[in-house]
Amino acid sequence: MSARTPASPQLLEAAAKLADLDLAPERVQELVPVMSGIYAMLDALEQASLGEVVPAAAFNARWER
Amino acid sequence: MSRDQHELVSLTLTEAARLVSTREVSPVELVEATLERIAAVNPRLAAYITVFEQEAMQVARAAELMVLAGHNLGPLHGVPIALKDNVATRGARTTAGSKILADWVPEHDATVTARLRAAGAILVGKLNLHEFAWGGTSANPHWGTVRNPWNIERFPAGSSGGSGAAVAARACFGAIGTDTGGSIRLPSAVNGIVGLRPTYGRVSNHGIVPLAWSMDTAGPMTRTVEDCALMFSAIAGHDPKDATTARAPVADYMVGLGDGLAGLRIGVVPGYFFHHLQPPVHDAVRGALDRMVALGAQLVDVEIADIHGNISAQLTIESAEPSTYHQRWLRERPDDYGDDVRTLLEVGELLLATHYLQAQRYRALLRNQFMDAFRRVDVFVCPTLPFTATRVGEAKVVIEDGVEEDMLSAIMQFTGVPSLTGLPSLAVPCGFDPDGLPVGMQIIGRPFDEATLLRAGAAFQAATDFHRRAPEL
Amino acid sequence: MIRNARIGAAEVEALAAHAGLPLAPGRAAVIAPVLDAWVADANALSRKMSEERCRLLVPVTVLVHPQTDEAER
Repeated sequence: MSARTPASPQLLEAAAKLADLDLAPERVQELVPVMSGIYAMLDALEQASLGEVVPAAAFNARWER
Repeated sequence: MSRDQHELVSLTLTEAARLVSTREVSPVELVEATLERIAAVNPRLAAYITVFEQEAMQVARAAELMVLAGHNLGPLHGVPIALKDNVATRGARTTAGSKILADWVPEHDATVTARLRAAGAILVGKLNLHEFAWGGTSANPHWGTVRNPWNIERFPAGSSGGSGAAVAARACFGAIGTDTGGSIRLPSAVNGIVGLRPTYGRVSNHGIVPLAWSMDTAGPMTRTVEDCALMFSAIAGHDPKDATTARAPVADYMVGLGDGLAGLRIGVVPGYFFHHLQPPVHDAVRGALDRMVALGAQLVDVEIADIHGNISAQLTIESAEPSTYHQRWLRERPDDYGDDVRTLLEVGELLLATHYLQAQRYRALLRNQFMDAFRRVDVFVCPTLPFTATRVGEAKVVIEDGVEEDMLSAIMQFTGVPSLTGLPSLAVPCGFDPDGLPVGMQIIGRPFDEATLLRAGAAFQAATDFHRRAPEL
Repeated sequence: MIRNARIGAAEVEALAAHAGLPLAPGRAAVIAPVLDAWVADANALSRKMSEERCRLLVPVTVLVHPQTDEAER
């Protein structure tokens, strides 16, 4: 898997547009290092050999209230 | 084709199975006639990717000997069946309609494959599809564009377009398709055949190349509802290899097919089911409802308050999940995808987790509203799609007022409800447009109540002849 | 920020780069209008699902436990 580019203000602004989330410029600056740390943790998942493994959460079609 | 062979391929699956069991027809005759039919029509239809000429004849000869020895493997003994090419077949390439899996030869059968073999079916080949099942036209850049046997300038829909075209063209007695967002129902409607999207969890997905894990199903595509019930009986049921399959009891789907429609409560959502349709589709489905009422059913108007969000939820889930599955290939071999599938996979990479999870919550909302509605009705009936077969290669469609719409979201207008809620849905032919192109309706039921759908569809077919007409090829 | 701001090629490139998804030249311009249209509808759905009446709704996908004979009795 190609390496991610580091978190940047441009990335967060793009993601915020996607999320329809209003972020003031100073909030974006505060979030950049936070997101960098989180993305680093997510990258650890790429070490797992997932192969054809299906997600653990599956659709339950039964009618149970 | 000789007259005898034409008669043979024109038998229904049920008739063929019965004649094999009574030794009036040999499996060898059925397979020979099917292979000849495939050779005659496939150059025009591109319905098949792989044909098992030698293997099918070998199995047919063995099946014939077994019958002569008084032994039937099962209810499909000696009947030629084909599989969508995303369903694994041991020792035979399974391409998923792709370049990426062009040389994949599975070591094991999919569960559906194994169950059909165990029922005595003879597999004659693998059917073309929209690449990786991610699309609704079956215009496949790697294996050929599938064509509609009713008019080869028109599309067969998809993604199980090869399955739909082959069954309609009498190039197999039944086929397996897969349905995530409509991929059994859409080609069934557009090719004038019957197709069943089962309750999610009723049929194993083990050994089937996934599109969207939480919405994928596999089901039969046949010329009649009776054939559909027979094939479905062979494949339904829990599979320890697929954790999403249910242990809910499997009904005897052949019992009750002749019980009729008296007292059946049919729900319609007037503000959604009959808006935004081409007039021939509107008229055919309304006509079918009138016929069902004449047969004893009663119509019940129902409101589903939040039905209008379903297309967005469907697109979000149906793009995020395949994009997850395809992450490695999309990076290593992006040029090996057709452009339309590549674009959808790229888009799906960029949706947010919150979009995806809200869509999964919307599914619960919609399911709850249908649960409430099913206190007042037994089934819902609606169009399968709002238009009849468009010209091959078109990415836009005009439904009303001359306005062009994007094909993908337009084609999903009515298929989303079963896909999102997990409810079973049976596509049944219910008419033709002025150009002779088929129209199909959906009969949607409660979870694991395929028996009621099949009973309703069989009653409709006993009173109509849409399913008996054949394309002239 | 403008509410319901449009997603353009620049946003697609930034997001794709972060996802580790290399895009060939011109791909961002192809993707952007599709993503923009889908996201507008997805955000509308998200607003609906954020209404008070939906607050207690859980996703329809649930954790599936490996099936054992005992668990199924």
